[in-house]
Amino acid sequence: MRRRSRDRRRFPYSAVPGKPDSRARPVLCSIAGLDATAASQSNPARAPARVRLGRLVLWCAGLLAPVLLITLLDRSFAARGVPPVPRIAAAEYLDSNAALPRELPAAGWRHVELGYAAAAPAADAAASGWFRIAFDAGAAPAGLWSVYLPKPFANVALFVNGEFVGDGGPMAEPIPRHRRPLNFTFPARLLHPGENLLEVRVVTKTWGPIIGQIYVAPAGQIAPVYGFMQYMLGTVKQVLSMAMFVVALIMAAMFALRRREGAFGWFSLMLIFWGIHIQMMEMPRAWFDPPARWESIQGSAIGLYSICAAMFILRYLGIERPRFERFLLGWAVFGVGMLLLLMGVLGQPEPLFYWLVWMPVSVAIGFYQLALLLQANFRKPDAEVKVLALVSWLGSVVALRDGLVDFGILRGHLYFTYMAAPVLLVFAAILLRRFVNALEESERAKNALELRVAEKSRELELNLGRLKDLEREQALSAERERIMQDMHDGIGGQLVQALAIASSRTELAPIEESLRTCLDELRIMIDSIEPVDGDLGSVLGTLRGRMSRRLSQAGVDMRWQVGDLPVLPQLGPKHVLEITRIVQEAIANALKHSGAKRIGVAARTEQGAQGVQIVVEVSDEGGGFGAQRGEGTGRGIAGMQRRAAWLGGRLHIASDPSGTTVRLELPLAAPSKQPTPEQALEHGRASGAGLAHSDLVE
Amino acid sequence: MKPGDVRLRTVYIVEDDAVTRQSLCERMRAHGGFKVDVAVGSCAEIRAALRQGRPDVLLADLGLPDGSGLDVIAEAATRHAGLPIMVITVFGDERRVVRAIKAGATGYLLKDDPTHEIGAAIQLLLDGGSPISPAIARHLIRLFQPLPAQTPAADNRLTAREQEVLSLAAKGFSYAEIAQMLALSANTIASYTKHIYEKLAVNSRSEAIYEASRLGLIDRG
Repeated sequence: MRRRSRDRRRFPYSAVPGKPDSRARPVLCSIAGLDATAASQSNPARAPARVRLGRLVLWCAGLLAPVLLITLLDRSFAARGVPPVPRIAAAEYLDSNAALPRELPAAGWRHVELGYAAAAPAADAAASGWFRIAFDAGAAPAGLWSVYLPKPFANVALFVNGEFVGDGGPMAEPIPRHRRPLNFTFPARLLHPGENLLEVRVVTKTWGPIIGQIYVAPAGQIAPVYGFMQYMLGTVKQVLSMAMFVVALIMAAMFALRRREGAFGWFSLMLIFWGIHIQMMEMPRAWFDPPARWESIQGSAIGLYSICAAMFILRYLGIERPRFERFLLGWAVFGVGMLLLLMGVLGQPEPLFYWLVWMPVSVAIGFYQLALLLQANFRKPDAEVKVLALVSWLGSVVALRDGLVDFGILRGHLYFTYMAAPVLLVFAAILLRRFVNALEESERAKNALELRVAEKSRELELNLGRLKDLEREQALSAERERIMQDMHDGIGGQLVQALAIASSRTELAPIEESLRTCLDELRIMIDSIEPVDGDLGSVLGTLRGRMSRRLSQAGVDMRWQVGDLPVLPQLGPKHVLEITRIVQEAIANALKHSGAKRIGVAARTEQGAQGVQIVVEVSDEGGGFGAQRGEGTGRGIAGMQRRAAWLGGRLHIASDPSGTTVRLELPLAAPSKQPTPEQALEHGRASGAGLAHSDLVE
Repeated sequence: MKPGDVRLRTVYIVEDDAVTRQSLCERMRAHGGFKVDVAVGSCAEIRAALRQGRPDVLLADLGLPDGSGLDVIAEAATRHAGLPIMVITVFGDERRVVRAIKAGATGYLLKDDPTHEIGAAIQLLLDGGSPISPAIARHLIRLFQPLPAQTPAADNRLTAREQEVLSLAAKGFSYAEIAQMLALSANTIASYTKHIYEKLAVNSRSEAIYEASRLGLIDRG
């Protein structure tokens, strides 16, 4: 009949590190590359057929991954973990407390099958018995030979042909347990050619007196297998459990530094319980007796591991289920209490509570955890959650299989401990990814910040520049205002006063005229320093206003033809004054010398030889220069030429008996390439003045 | 002044310079259409006079020994709605004139304007018009431009016709010439100018209120 092996390792749940969601887990989520996962959130229903097929294949692969993994491990163990010699199939067994073969009775032995299923008769707690095995050593055994027990469970002492060849530790309590292979090497001289006798003493307190399989062969054939098994069952598991403790310490430190990261804390606890479980399970000799007390702690650890794993997943996913969490914690306290009571205090080696309640609930918690991950992934597809779900699925299936192996339903080695490798790897990958994301995020933030700082300082500079310009303008404007005020109240007021006095006395009439001219000149100067917004039309208009009295006194009609002119942004006070002076001089000349009754002023834009230009023309219908060339006219014209040259323009004067036209041409582009006054003067002498001169001579 | 008009127009003058004041009074008398009831040299005196009576025209200098003529103008404009107020300046420069218009003046004189020009200018005012110079027109165009700032000036904009008049005046065209171009009477053009001045004054007042409330000087609650 089949009897389940008594290895209590059950991992009916998987362990899965996870990632917290937005609420409860600051670093894990804020550092996390959640943005990256958001990009993958396409609606599966709308994906193209190829993509959907690809997804289906991936899901199937994930589903089959545990089978693949188990098969791979099985094959590996089968290929390298089994000696290339026939195992010994049968033996004779006898319950006996005898310490040496020679104390054994000859009778009472019964035939038993050896192997995993081969079980000795059920025994009570402290059992001791002997296996007697006959084997063939061949014709001339030489060198070293080995007795190899892949998984004896119980402690053993071996005798070959009555000679002691070794044991698995002290036979006193606490009796060592052997989940790893035992290999005893002895010299061939102990052997006889042909049949030999191997006697094995079995002592155990936890399990029945079983020794599993047994091989006897030359040492060279056993050594590689033994090495491989030692490595797989010893070294690898030790390394994994040590890695767990290290990672757990790091996580605990992170949790200590960032208390908000509850997930770190639970993950750390989870690893600690898992590591304790592995260590307690793999340790050949318990630190204390009875074994049931040892087992109660070992069993508690694995149950607590599953509870911590569930808490971790809840925190990682950011799921708030306070009632479920309270249940988990309450269950942990209750379950551990029951185990300590039943096994530790009452000494029950295998209480029903453990097998029927504690472990099944742990299984349920494990599957619940898997369900949470899948649900989270369907709600919001996320690569990390998918990987965690895969690991969780892998762990669940492997744990289930280990359970079946434990029960003796399946044969093979136990693999759950190896699941620590993917769990740690995945968690490391997640942490690494977040770390990289966080670095990149902070780099991005830094770059963005630098850009913004640069931008702001540019803006600031610009604003400062504007402010300076404004301040300068304001200072200029204030200064202008002050001068205006002074002129208005001072010289202006004085002139007006003088004018009032002069006009009240007829004998002062010549002075009155002179004073009036002074005042008009002053007004023209004042007008020129006012900002004109580039409006040449209003400059001319203002001049007209200033001269209107003289024009009307002279009985002259003004033909005013000022059209729409482009805005001249560079029209400063100096330009205004120069243009005003030219036009004023031209009008004054016409008034003085032409005797015309009509003067025309026209301003317009024209297409000139050098592009668009503004043309201002003052024309009269008088007799021209030839007839009434007065003194000072020539000097006046030279002044006009100079002014025009300074403006970067040209002055043409055409005079004939039907009238005179003074034409000022101002290239539109001129203000931007305003020559210096000196250059302008040169230019004026070279061209403008010469031209004017020839006109005048005419 | 038409010969048939027997009633003399009463004029108040405030001008701190005695000679100029005297000269103005003489020109007024010389014109024959005006009677100078009050000719004083300080804010206090003209205020007192304005409390007691309403002239047909007020001529106000800006720089007074005991205050600004602008305040006198503003007060007179408030006390006597519709009173034609002229600012007297030496230069007729746009700054002073525009400031006076904002305070409530509707016209301006140069201190040395000859008698007939003074008479014509006052008559223009009494007929419901206002004078304008190209520089003032240009200044007004700028003032009435929609400002990017949130000033309340925008609620008293210029009509298209008013803008046209301003833009022609800025180019130096006379009222007669503008009237000819727009096929309107010169009086109409002058009245446009007056409307523009009034809008400017209204805007300035609301701007002042806005500014004051913005600075927390008054509570608009």
